[in-house]
Amino acid sequence: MRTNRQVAAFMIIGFAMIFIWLRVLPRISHQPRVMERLQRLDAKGIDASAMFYTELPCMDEILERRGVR
Amino acid sequence: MGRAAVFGSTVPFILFGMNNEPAQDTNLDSNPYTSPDHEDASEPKQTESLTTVNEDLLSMAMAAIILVVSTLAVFIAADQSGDIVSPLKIFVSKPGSWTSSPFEGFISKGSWMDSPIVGVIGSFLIIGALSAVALGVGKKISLRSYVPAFTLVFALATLAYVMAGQSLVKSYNLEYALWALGLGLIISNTIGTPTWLRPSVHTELFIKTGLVLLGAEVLMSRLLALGLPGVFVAWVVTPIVLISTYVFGQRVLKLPSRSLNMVISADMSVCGVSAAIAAAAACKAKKEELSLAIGMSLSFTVLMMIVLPAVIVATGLNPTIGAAWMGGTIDSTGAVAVAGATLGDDGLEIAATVKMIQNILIGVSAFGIAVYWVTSVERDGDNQNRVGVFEIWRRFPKFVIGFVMASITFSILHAVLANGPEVTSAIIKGSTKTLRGYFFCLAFVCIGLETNFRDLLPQLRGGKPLILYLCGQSLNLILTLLMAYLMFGVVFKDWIAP
Repeated sequence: MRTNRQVAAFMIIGFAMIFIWLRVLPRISHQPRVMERLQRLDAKGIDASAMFYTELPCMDEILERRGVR
Repeated sequence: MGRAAVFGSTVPFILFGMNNEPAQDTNLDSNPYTSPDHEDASEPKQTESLTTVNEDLLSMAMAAIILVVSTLAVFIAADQSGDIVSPLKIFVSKPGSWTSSPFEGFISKGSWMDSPIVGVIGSFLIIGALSAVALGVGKKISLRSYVPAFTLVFALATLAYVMAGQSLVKSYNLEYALWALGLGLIISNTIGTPTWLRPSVHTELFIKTGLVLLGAEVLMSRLLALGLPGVFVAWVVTPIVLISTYVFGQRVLKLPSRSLNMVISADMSVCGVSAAIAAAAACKAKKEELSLAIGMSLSFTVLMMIVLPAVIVATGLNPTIGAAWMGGTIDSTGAVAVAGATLGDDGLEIAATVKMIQNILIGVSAFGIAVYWVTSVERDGDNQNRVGVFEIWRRFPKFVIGFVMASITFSILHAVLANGPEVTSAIIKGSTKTLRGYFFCLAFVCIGLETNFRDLLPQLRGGKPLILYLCGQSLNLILTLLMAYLMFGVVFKDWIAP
């Protein structure tokens, strides 16, 4: 049986996440130093969240440079 | 009467993956919610074991269908247009990255057909249809109960991708696994996982399908991308660290759970989250053990991604040696690239290539762990009784064979076909990689939905998992630095330039 407290906890966490992702993170991302870092990673084809080498955009270029097909 | 008895022998079911022995309810090898009729988690296992097909067989079948269809699509497209591209690409994608608004990740500026939203819907339909058929046939789950449940679980997985896709979050290697797990945990630990959602909670099926698909990305020809030095750093040090850490955990720390010990050791020594998933499935670890290992790995990855390049620059270490060191020690591939790039383009190249070679070790480690588990660990559990070959085969996680077969098949395609690299790249990047990611993401949502925070607490008691990770990573840092110095600084000093 769901209690009001459980629903309230769910709502509070939900709203906190919405606020962080839609307000805080975009604001930080637009700071010049952060923007510059993000653009640098993009330009180099680096996906920092890649879990496996096939998810890394720069890997193709690296392999080509090393002569590995 | 059990199904095996109907057919007069258990042999066919053992050979083809029918599970005639109930699994423990807490590990990745079980799902008490395999049927909507089974509301009570303590009840269904006997029924499940006798009337259903186990997840290994279902996951291998699902992955095989995806791999065959993706391969045929590329061949047919090449035959008709001459271009080696996957026609499935527009129908399979995840939300893209975004900075200001999540909608940026769904809508592209060009044609609406190229927008990720089309691919997200396509992925939903493909995975939904395949899993509904597999679970309907294999687990007798009704379509009516599965469709709404799967829709919400898929929506949560997509939300996890959206959260991970925010540019700032993404740049710190905070992968979708973390957010998928977090979303599931928030629901299960606040309002509770609704009963109607249970039919779609199939951690094992999703994780094993994802792993077999991952096998296709493990191309053996990549092994020599950096010559012998790369092999020594990635393939000699890594197994030494993995085994030493595991032995340390058993003999010195006396960790109560061998599977937790193995998952942390593999996660820390091989390549982070992907290795943790493979090791957990191979050694039948508990869901909360995988969650814990991934949480620790991602936390330390962020730390090492920032600290290691600073240490290398501050100490004046040769950038090539430093890059190889980072490639061999930082858990996650993306974080290795970020850290490597701080040492310049050559640093990025060496670090990413060492990591890629280490990525390939994932198949060998999963196979080795599975063999060790069924021949040694589970035998010890049987009071040292001698376990026959047939029993070993029965216990062996069959999806590992699917993983290895996918790897061998795609490595052969890559090496033998005239346009092998282009064909395999079109198949992987066109569809299988994205679908594999979705399967893992769905699995992490399911783990979160099934995990209570209280289940995690006993694992943290005494701080032993953390001590294990720290000691193992320290050994990893020392041995990898020594090997990187020896290989890139002494033995092959003049041979490394591309």
